[in-house]
Amino acid sequence: MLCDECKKNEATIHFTQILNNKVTKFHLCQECAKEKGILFPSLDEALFEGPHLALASLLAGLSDIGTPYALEEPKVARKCPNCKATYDDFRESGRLGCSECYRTFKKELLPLLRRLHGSVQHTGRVPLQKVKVGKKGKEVTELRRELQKAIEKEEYEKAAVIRDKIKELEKKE
Amino acid sequence: MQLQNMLKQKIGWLESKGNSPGITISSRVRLARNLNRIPFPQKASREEQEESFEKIKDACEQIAYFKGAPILNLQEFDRIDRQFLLERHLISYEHSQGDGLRGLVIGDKELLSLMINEEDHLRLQGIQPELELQQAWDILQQIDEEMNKKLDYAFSSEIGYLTACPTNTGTGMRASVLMHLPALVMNEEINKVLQALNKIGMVARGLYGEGTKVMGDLFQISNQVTLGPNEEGIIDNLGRVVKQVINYEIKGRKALFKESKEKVMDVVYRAYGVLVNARKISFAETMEFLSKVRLGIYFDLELDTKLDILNELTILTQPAHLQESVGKELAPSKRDFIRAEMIREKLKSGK
Repeated sequence: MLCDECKKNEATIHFTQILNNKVTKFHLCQECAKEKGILFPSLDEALFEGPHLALASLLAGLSDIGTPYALEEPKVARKCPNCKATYDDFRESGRLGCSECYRTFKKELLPLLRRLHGSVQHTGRVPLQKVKVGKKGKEVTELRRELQKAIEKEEYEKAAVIRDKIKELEKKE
Repeated sequence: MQLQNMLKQKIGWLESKGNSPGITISSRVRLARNLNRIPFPQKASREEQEESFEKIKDACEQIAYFKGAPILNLQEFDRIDRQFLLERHLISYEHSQGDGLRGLVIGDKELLSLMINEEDHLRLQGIQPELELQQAWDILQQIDEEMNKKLDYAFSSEIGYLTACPTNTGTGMRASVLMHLPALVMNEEINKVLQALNKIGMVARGLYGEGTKVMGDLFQISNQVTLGPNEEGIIDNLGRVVKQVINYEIKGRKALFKESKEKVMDVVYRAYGVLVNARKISFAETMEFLSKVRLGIYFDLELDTKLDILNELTILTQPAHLQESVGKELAPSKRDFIRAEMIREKLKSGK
């Protein structure tokens, strides 16, 4: 099978994308997959081809804590209602005060998380039960578990339906 | 000093399976978890630290895996004991130094451990010998799930597990492999490799993790990114990168041996000569020479020792280990004599 993109090389990467209830199957060669950012860059390329990788420039210089917080940012007056920590406390120590700080300083933290990780969407494990969350939060958490299971079983159509449900619920928040 | 009896315990992750030529020493996966709404340890009051400590301790006591496992309150242990735990890779440097109510739970053969009130309320760690990231992760995720049945983890459906430092947010997962890379150090390719690792979201650290020095050509290579990819993705990706680094190291070793065999042999035999004859030796020197002898074993040079013994020496010659073994605090110069004696004996008896 030939690559969908370049129509020249043998396709070795096969995957299914589901966007807005539409299922699209892709068959790409290594080269095109890399260009589309689907493959993780390999160490060889980072060694020999220089720093053109998007992730690379993002992470270069962020090898240890310190640098990302040194940037000039406007003063944040809010205080975490749960632990009373301020954003300045975080800037000074590099540590947040409690889990609620993520809610309090969400606006400031999201760009930082994006700089650090290149993403702000968790796709990994989900806790078993969320005891103290509201009904909606619990529903979303459960749906995310189902989503994960569906993806593991490669049931992509089912996954897409679940994902859209989650989006719907989160919009209402 | 109370931990002498641990010296006799077998360290599970040092039991080499003989599958690898000694380039990867151990694989580790750790998860950072916090309790919902209770302030993170650094911000917590004494009462709040007690609350998280007790909750986690109770959870451990109810889990079959930790049945009979020692639960240590680090406040009850002196400086040497804490350093001893650091040297065994059971706790982090931060955990060995910090004050406040801190704990450690040690699983069977030290393959699994749990730090309480480190930077996060809970740090679960699984270690396996050689390159066995998947196995370390398999065990760890079971324990994580068991713990989760008893504890209310801080979590956001958007950005995942919430940690004290945003560098761990998301999966809370740091996977790492301890690698021995003497050829890349000798041929000076190592800096290029380390920079390349940085570019692809990996980082290399020293022997005892974050902020510690590289000794004996040992590097800990780990993922930086914890938010975005899922756990399996992080492990697959690290495993793949480690295999690439192994290939560079092997290539480097072959080239070294081809181009400067005499020189390499000289370096190896001199190192062995020092180890079997020295009467006084520092830990840094020990690590340097052990590294060269390891390399000699790889090249099948005639050496009266084997990898297992070198691994054991790497652990036993550490400063706090030496002091535990004699049961008292020793000045560094005195330690150097005892270290040399221990090395001579081990190399003699373990042929």
